[in-house]
Order: sequence, then C-alpha cells, then structure tokens
Amino acid sequence: MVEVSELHRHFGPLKAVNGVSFRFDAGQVFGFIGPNGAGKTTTMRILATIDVPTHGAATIDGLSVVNDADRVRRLIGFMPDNFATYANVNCWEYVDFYARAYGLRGQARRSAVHRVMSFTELDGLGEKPIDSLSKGMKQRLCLARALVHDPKVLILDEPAAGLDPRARIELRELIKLLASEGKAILISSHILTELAEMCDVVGIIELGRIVATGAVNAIRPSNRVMSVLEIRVLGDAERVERYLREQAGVSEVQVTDRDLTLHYPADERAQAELLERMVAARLPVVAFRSRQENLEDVFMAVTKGKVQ
Amino acid sequence: MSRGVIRSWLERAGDRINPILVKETRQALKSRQFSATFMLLLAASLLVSFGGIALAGPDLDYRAAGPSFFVGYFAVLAFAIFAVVPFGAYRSLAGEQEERTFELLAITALRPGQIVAGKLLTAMIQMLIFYSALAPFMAFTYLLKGIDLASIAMVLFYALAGSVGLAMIALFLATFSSRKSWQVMLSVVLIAGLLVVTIVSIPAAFMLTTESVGATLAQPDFWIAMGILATMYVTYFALLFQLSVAQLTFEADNRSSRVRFVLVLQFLAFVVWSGYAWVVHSSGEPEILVGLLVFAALHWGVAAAFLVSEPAGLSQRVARSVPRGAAARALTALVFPGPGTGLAFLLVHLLALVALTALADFTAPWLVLNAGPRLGSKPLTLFAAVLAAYLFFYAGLGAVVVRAIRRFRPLPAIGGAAITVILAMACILVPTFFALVLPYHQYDDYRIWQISDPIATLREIYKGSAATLATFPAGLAAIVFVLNLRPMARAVAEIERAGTPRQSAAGTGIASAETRGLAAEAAAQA
Repeated sequence: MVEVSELHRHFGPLKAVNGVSFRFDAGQVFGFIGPNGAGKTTTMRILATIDVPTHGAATIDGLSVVNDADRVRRLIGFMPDNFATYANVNCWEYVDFYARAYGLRGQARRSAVHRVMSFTELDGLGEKPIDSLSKGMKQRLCLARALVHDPKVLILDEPAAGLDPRARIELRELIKLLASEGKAILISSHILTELAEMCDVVGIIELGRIVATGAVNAIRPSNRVMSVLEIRVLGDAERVERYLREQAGVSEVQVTDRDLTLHYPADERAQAELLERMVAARLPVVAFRSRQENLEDVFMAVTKGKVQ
Repeated sequence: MSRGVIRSWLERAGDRINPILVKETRQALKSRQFSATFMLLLAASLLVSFGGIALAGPDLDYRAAGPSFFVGYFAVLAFAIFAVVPFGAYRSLAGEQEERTFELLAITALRPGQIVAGKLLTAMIQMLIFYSALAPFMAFTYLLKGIDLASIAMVLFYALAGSVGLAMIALFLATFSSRKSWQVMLSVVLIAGLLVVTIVSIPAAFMLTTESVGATLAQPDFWIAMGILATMYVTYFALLFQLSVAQLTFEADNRSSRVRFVLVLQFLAFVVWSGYAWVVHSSGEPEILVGLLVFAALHWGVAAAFLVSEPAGLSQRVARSVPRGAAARALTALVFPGPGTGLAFLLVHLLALVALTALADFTAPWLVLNAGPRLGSKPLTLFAAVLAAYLFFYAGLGAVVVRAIRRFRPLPAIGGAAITVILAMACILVPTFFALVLPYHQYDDYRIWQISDPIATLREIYKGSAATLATFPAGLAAIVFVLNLRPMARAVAEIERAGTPRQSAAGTGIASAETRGLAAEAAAQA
C-alpha cells in the first residue's frame, strides 16, 4: 500500500532525509519513531505530496507521490503536527468545508460529515466554536477532517503530542479501529509506549536514515536477540558495574543507586551462568530479573541521540 | 414554488459555490472585524449626513450641495473598499500560509486558482455589502442637486473596479512569501499603499462629480480611452491572478504556461490598440510609437526577469502534459516552464515588436489615415531594434548569472529575478551616475562608456546622429544569445523528447534531476 524506497530530501547541505526505505500494507499501523530533527516530518510531508523528494521514490497504492500527486491526494488523509484550524468557525462548518474542498456534494457531503463526526464522537459538538475545544477534542476534529473523504491511507504526525492520558487512550482506540477497517496508517510519536501498543510495524529513524525496522515484538538492531537484565545489589554497585562490564555479551550497563540494568543475550542458560559467576565472585546480588527488550530499549540502543 | 423545492434548489446551488467563499462568508458573518467595520461605516455616514446638514444650515435648500455630500460619503466608502477589504483579503491568504492551513487546502481537490478566486469573491461580496449600506446615502446626494446620476454611477463603478483590482494586488502580495518577516514587511508596504490610494481617490472622486459627465460620454475618444483602460485592467488583472496561482502551485506542477498565455494575450491586445492608435488617431508622428515602445520595454523588462529565473528542466508531471502531436508541440513549446524556453519566448516577442515597428514605420504614408508630411527622418525601426537588443542583453545576462549561481547553491525564482533586475539597474544607473557627477562631463554629451545605459544610447540614436552606436548593443545581445543558445536548444529538445511516446511511458516514481532542481528551489524558499 505505502512503499518508500531510497528517499532523499536535502535542504542545501542538510540531508533531512537520507535514503529512507520502508513499506507497510492496508490494515497495518506503521510507527515512525525518531528524535526531533530526524526526518520524520519531512518524510511524512513528502508522502502527503506537500514536499518533493530530492531523489528516491515513494508510492501509495502504486501511485507515485511525485508524478501522480493529484490521485495520491484522494487516497490520503493527513494530520500535521499543528491543529490547522480557523477562527470563527464551528466544528460542523470546519468538517463541512473540507468535505466541500474534497469535492463532496449534496447528500454525499452531509453523510460524510455526519459519519466522521459520529466516528470521532463529536456529533454533539457540531455548533461549538473550535476555539473553545480542548486539545483532545481539537485533535479528534482534525482526525475527522482527515477522514472526511474516506482515505485509504492516514498520515498522522505526532497526533498524541500534548494530549492528556485519557485523550491519548481514546485516540489510540480510534486509530486501532481505523486500522481494523483496513486503512493503512503511518503515525509518528515520541511516546513509545503508545506506539508499541497500537503499531504493527515500526521504523526508527535518526539523522535521516532508518536504523531499525520491523514488527514491534521482533524489532532488533542488526537482528540481535537481547534481554534486559535488572539487578539489585547490596552496598557497592560500582564494583558490580565494573565486574559486569568485563563480562562477554554485556552491553549498555546503567546504574541508578543500587539498581543496574544491562543488555544481555536472551539465552536463559547464559543468563543463569552469569548469575552463577556473580555469586561465585561474592557480589551481593539481591534481585536478578530478566525481561524482553521493549520499544524504548531498542530505541535507546539503536539511536545515538545525534541531531543534524 | 413550494419551500421544499426552493430549499433543494438553494442547496444544489450552494454545492456549486466555491468552498472558500462559503467558509469565508461564514467566518466573516461571525467576525468582529466585519461587523465593526459595517457599523462604523453606517455611523460615519450618519455623521456626514448630520454634520453636513448642520454645517450647511438653511442654505441647503438653495445651493447645490450634492457633490460635497457625495464626497463625504465616498470618503467613508473609500476607506472600507480601498483599505479595509483589500487588506482583509491579504490577511486572509497570508494567514492561511502563516497558520499552515494552506498545506491542508493544497492537498484537497481545490485548485490554487479556486483558492485565489474564493478569496477574491469573498472580498467582492464584502465590497457589495458595503456598497449596499451606502446606497441610500448616495441616493440622498442626488436629491441635493449639483450631481447627476451618471456621475454617481461612474464614480461608483470606477471605485468598484479599483477596489477589486486592489484586492487582487493584495492577494498577489500575500503569495510572495510565507516567512513572517516578509509578511510583516509586505503588510506595512500594502497598508501604506492602500492608504495613499484611499486619500488620493477622494479628490479624484470630487473632480469627477463636478465635471459634466453627459458631455464626456458623448465623445468617441472617451470610449476609446475606456476601451484601452479596460483592456489594460483586464489583462493585468488576469496576469496578477495567474501569477498568484503560480505562486501557490505545487513546485512539480506547471507554474508557467498560463502566465505565458496571458502575456501572449496582452501582447496581442497591445498590438491591436497600438495599431489602432497609429492608423486612426495619429498623424504619423514617430513620438507615439516611441512612447508605446518604451511602455512595452518596461512591461517586458519585468516579465523577462521572471521568465529567465524559473527553475531549469521539466518535472515529470509537466513532461506528461506536453502535446503528442508535432504541430501542437511546436506551437506550445515556448509556453512550457524553464529559463531556456523563457528566454526564447522573450526573443520571439521582441522580434515581433521590431518587425511590427518596421511595418508601421515603412507603411505610414499609406496606412495612417491622417498622415502628415514627415519632418526629417527618425530611425524608428533602429530605435525598436536597439531597445529590443538591450532587453535581450539584460535578460540573457541575468539568465547566465542565475545559471552560474545555481551550479553552487539553490536559488528561488524570485531571487533570480531580483538578481536580473539588479544587474540591469547597475548597468543603467552606474554610467548615468557618472554622467551626472563628473565635473567635466555634460549629461547630454554622449560618451562610449555610457553604452550600457539604454536611455542615453537610445536618445543618441533617436537623434539620428550616431546610428553606428547600434552595433554595440546588437553585439552584446549577440554574445548573450550565443551564451544562452545551448540552454535554449536543450529546453526545446527536452520538450520534444517529452512529447514522444517513449518518454510518455516514464513514470517510475523516481524523481528526476529536474525534480531535484525543484526540490532545491523549494529548499531555498524554505
């Protein structure tokens, strides 16, 4: 459905997008993760036909976003990272305006407006001025606007930014529902736990390049299979840290007071042997727990926090 | 007709109305700015009425007070339609870019032309509402004598046309830049300009109402002048509209062809009116043609700066719109975007201008209806040729410089046009400056170092004393022609290739080198 291949976008010497490739299909939610300035928004703007690539290809439903922009625009619904609303307009007028702008006429327009207002649970707020809405409600309204022409693909740039927990959960449920209806959804967010819960596939981008991509529960940098070990010790954590750093397979050791976290191969036998060696070395281990790497761990492992 | 039928008819009609107009009218009806302006307009009109009556006192019954009252009401109306409405149109479009709502509009089914038209129609609706509010007061002035209905209608018509024109200029300015700093600067310039127009319009309206319009309307010359003004108004309006649309069009789309079509129409209208003025209304004196040539040179000078600064190459989207038929392709090749086709487009028009001047010059004794005896021989054709050579030289030089800069860094079209204009201005003004300030030099004494100054050189040539001077600008034009020959030929060849079936199959989605150029331009604008 959405395919991006070796996409580049340069602004003078700045390579905002530098060879990004990924793909996802109808019914899937693709999470786009990366620090600020990594190239997420630029990639999304190219897919939304607002910007053009320096080179590379991007297609939606087989249509090029460069050559077939007009037809691509009928297929996409775009929510930018700002609300992009108007003063002196109420909710119904706002959605109705975009329905007209997408060429919907008569009964088709009225039905489309009613459908999206009802889907986003805004049907009781049609007469309410946009200025008086909460952030969560505004975000729902923008989602309604993006859905009014029934697009196949949704491109959502930081839709959860600034929302309270309830609004975030409600938005997540709406997105899951849209995916279940067969829409392909590209979503960027800084809130990784949110993405982990709603995405089927994620791509991590840094310095304009995709550094890891794959299904949420399988994404690993360089195909590694790692666990996160959480260890609590008595007394001198620094001595334990020194010991652990010398052990083969141990990486990314972090110390917080008496707690240590580290990345270690997911093989349980190897983990048991490490614990055995620590006890033999008379290190005061109080607790030793292994868990799967989550999206946040992978993100921290594959990105270096560099900004262009 | 039942209410249901009327309602259904209104709904169907509403569906056909420009969505921008619907949205903006809804916004305007709720906005404080519009209602405040409307109420102030009514209050000011009432103030003029009562103030005027109080000032006139009992004399009101005996003297013709119509013009004075009319001008008072006109001043109120002028502020609304010359200042408030055009500035509102500017803010409306500039605000779409500032608030980034324009991006969302651009990816709907709305064309940039519909967006500009919607904003313009909204401005016109507001003007008409203000007009309707003032109509009873204007009618009142007729009852006060001293002013006829024709004068009132004429002033109101001119004011409406002027206001619509100002709204178009304001919308054009709003498309120039989405940067806040530029928007602020343009706002200041626009407000200043609109206030000047408002102030100047008031005495102009007074003059129009105090003259007898009936006698003026009976003169054929009046209608000819109106025809010329209307042609200029309509064609420049169309040009500004298409320029605004081009500014709002997606970079990979065709931003040029419609603008160039309007330029061709303007050229044809210019030729028709110039021919009419020459044949029917002149006695064959060359000054009229010189004046027309200078006007054409100024017009084409500005157009050329933009034509040669467009991004090079055809995007794949534009390439697909090139006609497949060889004849259609040949006819339309020069209206496709790019600096190469732009320079060739300019060249064709300049050559046509010289050829038409030669035709007018040599056929004057037979064609000009009131041809008088020619006093001396004025080198009119040479004058036109040298003027064209200068124009081509400056445009070609600009094209070379812009091309060179783009090898190293992206340069938007507006930047390229600015460079071309600055280059031409430097070539003209530097020798003029020295000619004026050098103590041993009289400005009228032409020296060869003034050759880059077309004003001094053309004056010398027109005197008929130095025809050989013409070889210098001709030589300069020939040099830049050679320097630009390859890009011009390449641009035409690219269109030729794009029109062949082999190229039409292209559409892999891989952005081309040309798209890279567009992307670079967009980057520079960002």
